[in-house]
Parts: sequence; C-alpha cells; structure tokens
Amino acid sequence: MAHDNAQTAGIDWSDPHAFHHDPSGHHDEHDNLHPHVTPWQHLVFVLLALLFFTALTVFAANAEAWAVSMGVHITHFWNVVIAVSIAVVKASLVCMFFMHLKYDTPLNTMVLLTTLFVFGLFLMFTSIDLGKRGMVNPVKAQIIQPGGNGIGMVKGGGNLGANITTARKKQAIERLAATIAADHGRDTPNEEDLAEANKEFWFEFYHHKVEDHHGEIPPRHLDDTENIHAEWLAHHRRELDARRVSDASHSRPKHGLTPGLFDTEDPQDGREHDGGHGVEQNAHTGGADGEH
Amino acid sequence: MTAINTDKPVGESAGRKQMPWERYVQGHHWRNAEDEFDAAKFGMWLFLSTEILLFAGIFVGYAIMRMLHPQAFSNGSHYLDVRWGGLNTVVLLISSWTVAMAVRAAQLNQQKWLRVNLIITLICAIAFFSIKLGLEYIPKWSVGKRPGALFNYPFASDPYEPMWWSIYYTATGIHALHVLVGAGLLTWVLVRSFKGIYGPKNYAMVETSGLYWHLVDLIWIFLFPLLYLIH
Repeated sequence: MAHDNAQTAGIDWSDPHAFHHDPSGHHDEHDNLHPHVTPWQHLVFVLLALLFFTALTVFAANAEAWAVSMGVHITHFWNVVIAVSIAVVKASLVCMFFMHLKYDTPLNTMVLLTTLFVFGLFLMFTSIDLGKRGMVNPVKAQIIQPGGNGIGMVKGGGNLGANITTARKKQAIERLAATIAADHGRDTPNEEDLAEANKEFWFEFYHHKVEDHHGEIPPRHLDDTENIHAEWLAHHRRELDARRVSDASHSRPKHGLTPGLFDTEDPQDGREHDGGHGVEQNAHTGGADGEH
Repeated sequence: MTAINTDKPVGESAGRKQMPWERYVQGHHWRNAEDEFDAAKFGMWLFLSTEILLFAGIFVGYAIMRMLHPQAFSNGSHYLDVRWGGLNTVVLLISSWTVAMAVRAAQLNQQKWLRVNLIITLICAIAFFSIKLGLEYIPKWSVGKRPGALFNYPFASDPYEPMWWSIYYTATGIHALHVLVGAGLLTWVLVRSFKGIYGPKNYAMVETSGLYWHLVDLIWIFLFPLLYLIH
C-alpha cells in the first residue's frame, strides 16, 4: 500500500496520470467521480472487530452451559438477546464501513432503515398474534413455550434446570384427561374412557384423512414401522385432535362463520328460547340502572 | 501538491494508450458521472431491500416455528456443529473485507490489488460452499436429517424436528444460492478487470457487486447465531 504515504496525498485519484489536468485551473468536474476512499487501516480495524464479535458471540453461547454447570441458570431470553444484539452490532459495522453507508448519501441509509422497519412490523404483528391468542381463547395458548434446552440431546440432561417443556406437556395431558373424564361424568378417566377416546380419535383421524384425499391415500397404522416419522406425528396430534378444537398450530375449521349453523341438533335445545330479544332487553335494563 | 512530473508530456501525447476506464464517459442522459454512479448505487440498494424482505419471511418463519416447537429447534441447533458455522462466518467476513478492499483498489487504480482481492474473495466463496456442502449438507442428508416429508432420521427425539430441518435447509439453501450468484457476479467483474475496464472513473459494477456480496455476509451474520448458537 505504498500509495498511502504523505507524498501522494494530494493526487486526484480520479485522474492520477493527469490526462485531464488543466494547468490553467479549469477543472472539469462533470467527468469525474469523487468517491470517499476508506483508509485501509479502517477496513482492517473493522475486520478485526467483526472477528472479535464472532468469537464473543460463540463465547456467550458457551457461557450459558458453563453457568449451568456452576448452578446459575441463564434464561433462554438472554441467550437470544445477547446473540441477536451482537449480530446487530456486526451488521452495523458491515453496513457503515464495508458498504460505505457512513459516507454515502443518506438516501441509501433511508432505504435500508425503511426495509428494516417493515421487517419489524412483520415480525411484531405475527408475534403478537401468536403470543396473545390465549387471551381470546385459553386453549390456544398452551402450545407456545418460552424455549427448549436440548434435553433430549444431552445424556443426563435432566440436571440442566427447570424443564419447562416437559411441565407444559404434562399439563396438557392432564387437561386432556380431565376433558375425557368430564365427558363421562367422572373426576378421573378410567381405562375404558381412555380406550374410547383413543378409538374416537383414530376414527376421526382416518375419517378426515380418507375424506380429504378422496380415499386415494390409505390410512396409516401405528404398526407401520417403516414410516416411523408418520407414527410420531400421528401420536403427537392425538392430544389435540381428541379435543377437536383449534390451537396455535392446528386449525380445525368449523362449518361456516356462524357457530352451530349447520348443527343437526339445536344447541339451545332444552333451554327457553327468547327469540333473540333477551340480550337487548338485558342491555337496556343495565343501561337504565346505570343512569339511576 | 502532486507527485506527477508535469515536465513530461501527459495524456495521449505521452504515447501511452489510455485504459478503458479512462475513456469511460457517463451515459449522455446523465448530468454528470456522479449522478450516474449514485443512481446505480441507489438502484442496487432498492434491490437489496427486496432481498432483505425475502429473508425477512424466512426469519419470521423461523421465529414462529421456534415459538411453537422450541424443543425441536433446541435439539436441531445441537445437531449443528458450531465449528463449521463459525469457520464459515470467518470465511465470509474475510471475503467481505477483501471485496471492500477491491472497491478501494478500483477507486485508487490499483489494478493488481483489485484482481488479487477479487480472487481471494472467490476462493472464500468456494471454501464457504465446500464447507456447507461437504461438511454439513451431505453428512446430514445422508443420515436422514432431511426437511419435512423427506425426514428419515431414526434417532430424533421430538416429532417436530422435520420442521427444524425445513427451516434450516430453506434458510441456508437460499443463502447458499446467493453465495453462488454473488460469486458469479464477482467472477464477471474479475474477468472484465483484466481488460482494464474498472478504475477511478468507472467502478460502479465493482461497487454494486460488492454490495451484493456484503448482503450475503449480512444475512449469514444473522443466520449463524440463530441456527447454531441459540439453544
């Protein structure tokens, strides 16, 4: 990099051989670019900083495991926040110096920031939707979990700390058992109840499979050991399918937007029909009470 | 102050043929060379914004699937080897630096350094792709760690691990595709640089191809922690 010493500092690099150099001082501005040339020392420094931050983020990821071995449990939240924050710092360095945004017209930076803003909206509204479904219908909330710990991948991983996932699954199974028991008017389901629920589930499962594919695809069996993955999926879906309700990861459509519209039995059967006026009357009465 | 010896004749009268970049003139519809250059760069940034939005869909998909099936994704990141991901990160960072140096060399008419930096970048691109394919894709695919319905790994411990592999192969696969496209662009720049096309008056192609390569690096900067580091 011999060009960078003080002797050559005054050279017009867009015309280093002075082809267009006019001794009279009339310089043709219209033909030349006047770029900002980043000093190579800056670029080397940025590269070293990027490598440093790469080492740091790997170190931070390992630190979680070390902390666990010393009895400190770093939550999954901080694991994510640290990793993504370091990535943002690295990306900013690349954008500012390697991509010259620091020295460019601000228009290019505006394009990038606008894009990132749209990305933020995309992520935010999707996350809010998924995270807050439980506020509308509690049964849709239980699948969303804060984080896994790779417990299935580590021998003796049961010592890693609170296994949230297992607790949630246990909770879901208990709720399912309670639902089955309630169907039979009991506090806890007995063997026959569970067997019946299981049979009911498989009937529904096969029925919908066959119906969806017009009978072209044969139903899968639990002893279809050649497709062990299909077996797992089917087994896992049992809990949710048995309840026949939508949750965060499976949508079970009803017939039409109006609940009960196509039901063969009147859902209000056995109750006194008010002809739809009851709600209005109650609301009116409530309002009148509030005024007094 | 200038180091050029003005006693000697300069320009065409020196008996030296001008290089192509020296003869470059901006399109007649541009007010000046700088307007043309800035417009080209702005156009490249607009294109890069659409690329960012393409990967935004993948990142949001990753976030949603991770929220729904954290155990599967936690298992999934344990399957990956941080050493190869880290090595690929270093390879891409170095290649990004050499591209920045190549742009600088073009700005300063250092033709030799322009080519050297571009060649190092292409070697890095080949290294990245070789590591990705030979040490990650092939060993994983061959034991059944495949996306979605192709999944055939007998020792998985979570039923949603196929979903993890779908996200993994989609994200890194589209990224690897961008590595190939970027390497193709830079190869084109390298070939043309041997003809002396790029220099201080004409380096928009070096700059915009470089921006594309930096974007590839940017995406990997986020993919690396999300896939390999977050358990």
